[in-house]
Amino acid sequence: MKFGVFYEISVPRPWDAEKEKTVYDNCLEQVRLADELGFDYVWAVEHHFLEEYSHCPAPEIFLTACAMQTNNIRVGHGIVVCVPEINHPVRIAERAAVLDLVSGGRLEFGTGRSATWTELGGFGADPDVTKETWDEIVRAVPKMWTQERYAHDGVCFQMPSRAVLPKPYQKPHPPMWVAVTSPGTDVDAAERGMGALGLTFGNMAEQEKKVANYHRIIQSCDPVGEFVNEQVATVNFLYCHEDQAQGIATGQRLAQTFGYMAAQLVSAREAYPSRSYASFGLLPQARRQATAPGEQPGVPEGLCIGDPERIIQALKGWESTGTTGVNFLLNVIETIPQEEVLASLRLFGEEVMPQFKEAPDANIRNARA
Amino acid sequence: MPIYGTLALEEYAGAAPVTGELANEEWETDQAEALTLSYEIDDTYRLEMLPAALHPSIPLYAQIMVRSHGSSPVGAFNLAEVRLMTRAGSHYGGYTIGAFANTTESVEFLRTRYGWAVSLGDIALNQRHFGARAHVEVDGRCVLDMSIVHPQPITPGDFLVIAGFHLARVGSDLRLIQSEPSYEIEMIQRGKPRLTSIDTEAFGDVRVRPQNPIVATYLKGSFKLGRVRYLIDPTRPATEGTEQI
Repeated sequence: MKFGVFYEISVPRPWDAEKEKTVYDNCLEQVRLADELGFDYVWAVEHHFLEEYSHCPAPEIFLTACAMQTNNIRVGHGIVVCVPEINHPVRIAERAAVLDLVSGGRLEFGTGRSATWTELGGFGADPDVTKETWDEIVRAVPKMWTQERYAHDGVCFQMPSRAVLPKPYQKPHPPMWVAVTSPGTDVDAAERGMGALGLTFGNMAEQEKKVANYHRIIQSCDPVGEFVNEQVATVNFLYCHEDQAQGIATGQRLAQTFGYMAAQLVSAREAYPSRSYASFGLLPQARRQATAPGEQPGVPEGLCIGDPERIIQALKGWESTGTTGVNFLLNVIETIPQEEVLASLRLFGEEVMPQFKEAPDANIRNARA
Repeated sequence: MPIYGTLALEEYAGAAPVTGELANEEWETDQAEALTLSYEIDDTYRLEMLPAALHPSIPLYAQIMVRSHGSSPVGAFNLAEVRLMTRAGSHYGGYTIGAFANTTESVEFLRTRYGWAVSLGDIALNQRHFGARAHVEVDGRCVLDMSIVHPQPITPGDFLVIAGFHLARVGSDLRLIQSEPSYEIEMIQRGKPRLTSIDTEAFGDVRVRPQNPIVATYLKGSFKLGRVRYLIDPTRPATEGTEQI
């Protein structure tokens, strides 16, 4: 089991320069500690216009800062939005390559297509075609990284032959992932030989089925890159405290605040009826459980909140589903004071992480093998 | 935490529908058609247009809908409505700015049983070869003309039905009444919205200014309106001020 910290970078109102900076500083301090404790990944989202919920439109810059302040932790795009109106595919390849270089080959390349009308509408992108454009881009980017020169004549973009520079530090290129929020995207990941970066709070029974299906399909995949990245990660909340009741209460507050914030956004599914967005993306679990206007968002099962023993049991449950990694949201709009977040992280590192010995990395294999 | 509405309730209290016995059972018609246009709106007044119980969605958008009902407890009628898409806690719902219905019976029915801010108007909804069109007149003056352009079929499962919130007087109190519509969709199309004319002042709030078009849908099927189950105190967050009937 691998562990990561996962950042939306949510900033409570009222916004001012100091508050925005403090939140970023807090995140960086958490990442430094996570690196010391032996966490495997720091992931950062790319979101635009998502008031309070996420002020992280330039993850490559945040991740560069993370890389400069740490030694071992891998830096992950969780995810870069593969929608041409938001990011030109060449810029995606270039920025990722530079991040891989300056981090000394620590980049994990997560891809996705956005799940909100707030973002897609803001950039004038067509929700109907984001799956197709994502597919076109994830097939093109590894070629930009590995071929000396690259030309493209596709549907979502065209370019004459150019040398896309620089090339990544990792050879042949960084591991590739796709964000899994909509039903079926885990299959898309498997078919393309990409890691499945789960970004919703599903239940364990569903997860077990999805993981088994993923591992079955990826055996016969047609990789978009030069190698297969067979990994399934999920996202969770983390609040670890010696006192179980206090840990659960604080953790539930964290989860509910997240659900409340996410609900304010306009999902693509809500605003624009399209087969391309069959789910709400950010919040399916919480929405299912809320039935009346007065009800708070539901608290998903298997949360990593409470005392270390409870969290160990939750993670054993996720491990039993075949999930290979869990990435943790540590805070939402600074609901938890920074010192408590750091204490939670330390306790997790001391008491929980040693219970999960990392297996040799057999999940990456050469696509040609 | 999310921002709350700051609507000056006292200015709207006098015009709020006065309810009688709230709807305590659902009703259904198997002959319904609905044309709905969604537009992002000018967000200058996004807080001033909403009561304190509600959050504006991000971004704030409006649904402009005309629906025909082949039957109902008060006979066939047409309804035209403008509503802002909001959140009550983590629930989404459309806050009704104003509406028109085309029979006196339906106006009375909707106002007293659901607290719907409905006035009398002439409402036409027609399916044309190139797409459905709706036209609403009040006292011979057009207040709404809209259509769907380049309609293409989509699957019913792609369409999301969103509850409504109606500001009304329930007894001596102002309350938001949640209405809960649902459809069994036989046919649904999606296209570009064309809003030829809208008089939002006639609908109740001139500050609702449609700007960025999102989508238009036109559907046929059966329609059901549930009984009233929830009342929300408009002055408090919905997480604190929701009452189940």
